[in-house]
Amino acid sequence: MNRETFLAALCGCLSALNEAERAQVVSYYEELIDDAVENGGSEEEVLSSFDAPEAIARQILKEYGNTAPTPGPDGPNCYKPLAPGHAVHVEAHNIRVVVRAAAISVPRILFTPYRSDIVTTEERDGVFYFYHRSKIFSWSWLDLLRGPHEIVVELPHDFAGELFIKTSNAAVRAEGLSKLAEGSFTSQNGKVLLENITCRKLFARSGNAGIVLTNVTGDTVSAVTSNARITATACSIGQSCSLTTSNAALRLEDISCPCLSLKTSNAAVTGTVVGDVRDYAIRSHTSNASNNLPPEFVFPEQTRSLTVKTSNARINLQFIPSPGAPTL
Amino acid sequence: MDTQRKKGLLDVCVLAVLQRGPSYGYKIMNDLAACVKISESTLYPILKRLETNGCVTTHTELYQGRTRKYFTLTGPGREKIADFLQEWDEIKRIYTFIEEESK
Repeated sequence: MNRETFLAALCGCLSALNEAERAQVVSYYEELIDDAVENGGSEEEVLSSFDAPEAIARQILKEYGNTAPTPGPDGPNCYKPLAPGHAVHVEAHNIRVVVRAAAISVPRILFTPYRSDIVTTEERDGVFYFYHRSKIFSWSWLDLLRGPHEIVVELPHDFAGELFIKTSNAAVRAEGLSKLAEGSFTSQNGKVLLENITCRKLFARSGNAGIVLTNVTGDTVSAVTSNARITATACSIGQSCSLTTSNAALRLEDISCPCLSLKTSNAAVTGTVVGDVRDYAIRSHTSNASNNLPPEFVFPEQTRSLTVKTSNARINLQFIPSPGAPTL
Repeated sequence: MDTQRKKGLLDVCVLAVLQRGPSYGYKIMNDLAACVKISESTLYPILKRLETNGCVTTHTELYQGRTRKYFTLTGPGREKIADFLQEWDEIKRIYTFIEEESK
């Protein structure tokens, strides 16, 4: 066997990997062969000291955690865990992450890595980990022409586990998840857009970019950002909801929640809350602007609470009767 | 030794070797041979994992007309070594205890 046949055989056994990853393995071995030959030893000796290409490929693919990506039919690699676990954990870097439900039985992640992307996956204690990093200085201008570069996370319709998504400098979008137990969506400097999600415990965080919650149902919802608005529309939350930002508006439309906490600064809090105003223990505070809510309206019989805090801007929250409530 | 545990140990071994300075695949393998003989196909995924976790950074350098990939230890990488040593200090104490008690 000579160098060419060895490397060609190795390449062939690694067809499960994508081009970039295969090239990395090949250049690693080329380097090893060159170094070993330089340090004395013929090419033949060196090659026979290696395992057989099939064994090497098996070991490398195994080390990918058996979650080696399978090249999808239409391009993107498909990363999925061997066993459907109870949680999916995605950490990405400067790239958009989109989460959606699909008619599948095991969660999977569709992603086409460029040469500058490094992806590893791991499966541990029922959690499927997907780590993405990009090498900043290996970015190629051609990549710009290739269309949207994003990580797509697909979950089965009945996925009732935990979801953790984190990225930076790009948006996180999720929609159509109806049974989530716990969801955490974080993007530094990117928007978080959640639509049609039912999740018992929901956490959305951004910094300097907006959070939009549309038709979100659950027990607890917490959305935190800064210097950007939070908009919540048609959300029905069973226990508590906390929306916090700074220097930007909070906009609510048809929000139903027994314990609502809204906090911002230097910007308006406006919108509609579903319920009867008298039921709510209200504490509201702003400065230098109008406030249509009482600063303190707390009585022991009240079963719900609303806390609103801002400054230098108006508070205008209207209460609308819940559909089906008796009208007086 | 349990394969999972060995995997974790080998990672820290590679990091320890890199403490002396940036190194490349063949040299890392030889330096490690003093302690544990691993095959190049075991080393590859270790290096890949360490890069993804941010414990090492890589750069390529031109060497005698071909390229060589160099691995450099990072801050988090050094922390990982320190954590390992601390963890195993405790295990050493427990080992001595068990040894004493078994006399």
